[in-house]
Amino acid sequence: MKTKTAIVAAATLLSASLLSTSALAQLAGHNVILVHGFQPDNLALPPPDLETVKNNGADYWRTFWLARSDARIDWGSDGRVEGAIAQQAYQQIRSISEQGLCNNFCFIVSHSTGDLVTRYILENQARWLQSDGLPPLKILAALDFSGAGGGTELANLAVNVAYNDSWYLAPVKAAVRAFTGIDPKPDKLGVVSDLQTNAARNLAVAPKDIPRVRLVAGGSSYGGITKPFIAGTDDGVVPTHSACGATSANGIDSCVSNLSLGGKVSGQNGPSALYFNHYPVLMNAGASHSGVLGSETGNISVPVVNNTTLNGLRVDFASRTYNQRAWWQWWGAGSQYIEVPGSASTDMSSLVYNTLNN
Amino acid sequence: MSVRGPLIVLALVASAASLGWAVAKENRWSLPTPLKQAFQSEAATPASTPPPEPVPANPLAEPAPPSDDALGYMFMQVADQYEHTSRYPSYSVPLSRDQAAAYAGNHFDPITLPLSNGGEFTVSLEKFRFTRGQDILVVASLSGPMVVGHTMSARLESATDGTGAGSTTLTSAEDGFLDGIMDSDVPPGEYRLIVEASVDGKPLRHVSTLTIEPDLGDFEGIDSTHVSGNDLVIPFQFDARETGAYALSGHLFANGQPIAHLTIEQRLDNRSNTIELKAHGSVLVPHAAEGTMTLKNVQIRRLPARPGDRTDYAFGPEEGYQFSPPDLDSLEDTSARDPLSEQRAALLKSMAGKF
Repeated sequence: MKTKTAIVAAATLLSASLLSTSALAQLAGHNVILVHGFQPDNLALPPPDLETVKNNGADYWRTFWLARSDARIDWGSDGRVEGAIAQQAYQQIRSISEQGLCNNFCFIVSHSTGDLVTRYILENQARWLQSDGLPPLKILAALDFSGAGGGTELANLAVNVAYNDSWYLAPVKAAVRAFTGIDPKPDKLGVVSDLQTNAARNLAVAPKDIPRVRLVAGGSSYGGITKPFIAGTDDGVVPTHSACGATSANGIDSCVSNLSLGGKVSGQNGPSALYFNHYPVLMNAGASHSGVLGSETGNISVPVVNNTTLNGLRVDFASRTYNQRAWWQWWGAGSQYIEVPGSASTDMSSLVYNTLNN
Repeated sequence: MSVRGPLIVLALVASAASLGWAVAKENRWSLPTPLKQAFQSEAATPASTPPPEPVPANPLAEPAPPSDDALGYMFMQVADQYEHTSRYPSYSVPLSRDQAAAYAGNHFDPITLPLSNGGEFTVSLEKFRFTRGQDILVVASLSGPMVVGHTMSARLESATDGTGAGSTTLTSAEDGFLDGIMDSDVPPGEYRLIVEASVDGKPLRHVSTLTIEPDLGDFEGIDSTHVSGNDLVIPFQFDARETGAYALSGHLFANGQPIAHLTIEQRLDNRSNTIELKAHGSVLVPHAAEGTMTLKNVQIRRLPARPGDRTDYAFGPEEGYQFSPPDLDSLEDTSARDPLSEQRAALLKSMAGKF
């Protein structure tokens, strides 16, 4: 009886959270499901129940997307993807399926580790739901902000710090403490273990037919103390190789070889290849890891154009290119930049939302 | 032990990565030129998909200018590219060489621990997943201005409960590296590999993660291939230890080039099973694939039956399986998107239409 009451309470909680924001929701006419990222507080204080996980999930998105979503898949960062996280996620996936919220195709909006969780969900949800007699979720596309599906070097270091008290690791420890919020212990790493670059890139990486739209930041987090430990450029937590969807964990500077994160037309160390159906569309050198979720303005967003996207067209972007001279440069045309006009006056989430909902 | 050389080379490459990265940052954009010229002269940039099909030339028609909405233009490009990639059935998707390396799976990048004195502690493994019973070759290097011991210890510890699962000693190999072999005959699961060095008389540990996989069964090879409809059917025999849902995948090589990633999910019984991989005409015809082909990077996954279950992996032989396909002349480079992908592509196109 106790169990039955608990199940009913959980179901009520899930239904309430699924429907609570639907009045303002939808993106281009399709329901929106949110999958949040790593929540460091969960390592120090593991959420005791699903209600706490759901409350944390709502708080995570409150800046912008919460009021524009129809459902969420929340999970505790103290768990593992192929463990408690999958179990928590599936309870909510089941509920979304039962309510038919994705019968007309949904958007998934993910942030950070939510990219990895989403990838694992997409790999397995159809089989699990069908075995429960439920229809699989029909996903139109995932919008992945600062996607950590390729892992982060900070997680590699966090696992090392958990086993070390050597003073040789003092700078590393400071960076890891900023990232995880704790001094990690071997049995308190939670999803950080999944974020190790080798672990992440060996989990559910098969090609999928759902487009992953990549939105990439390159700003600073934690006062910049994490940046020296991440390969290539990064947003303070996630390396660009992961956020772009590059097929290797080698450090890169940009999602393309001809345009910097800041939009400068210049030779860049870009990825040698991208995962199947991964499409970087926007980069922003100034946005921080969490700032992409709607809290930061003043940073220019850059369309990820390359000679494949150009497809032989003459793309002048006349209103989107300009020459910028350094203060000391009195001659010459300066450097050439590309940007999304007006993007500095808004944030990346608003830009994406307003463009698709225009 | 035959893999020791390549692993050491790999570790050397890792150590030199930052230098290589710096050297590779050549400036290919020395002159500000019109964008069109600039982009078109640039070496091919990566894309998740092969380039779109060529548009028939029409000298009288000017290409349509892009939308004024830069982000809208990008969404339009996503819709176009997705329309292109979704023409391939999900069981047979095209691969570039770099994508082939990524989707081969079971890759382990050396992990480097930066030290405060500028030194580095690096550990390399030949792969991320080891089938229970396989040897684990561990290669380590430690650089920096400190006094280090002549040996290191290595031990495995369960990531789940911290239980110890074997140890070994790494001894000097060549070029400053130390190596040693560990036994992996331990219960399947995730493990942490802890390599400990003595630095200035105190322990310094390097930790990385690997998995030990159960013996899922025997890869028995390819039966006679045949053409059915617009597919080359490659029947693969796998003798499964246990009944369950599995996914078999592999890369199809023709003329030494990877041309497609093939995959199929199927329920297997605990006996010899035939699993039919299929290569669609859309990936074979553009490569004029003929003659001997190879199915490489074969892996089978036992899929998690319920949320929370673990995915188990097994891998076929490195050399793969060679076979001679039948006459492929009847195959055509036609679209074969599945209904869901077709709907998705149409919705994305419709959405992008406003830009």
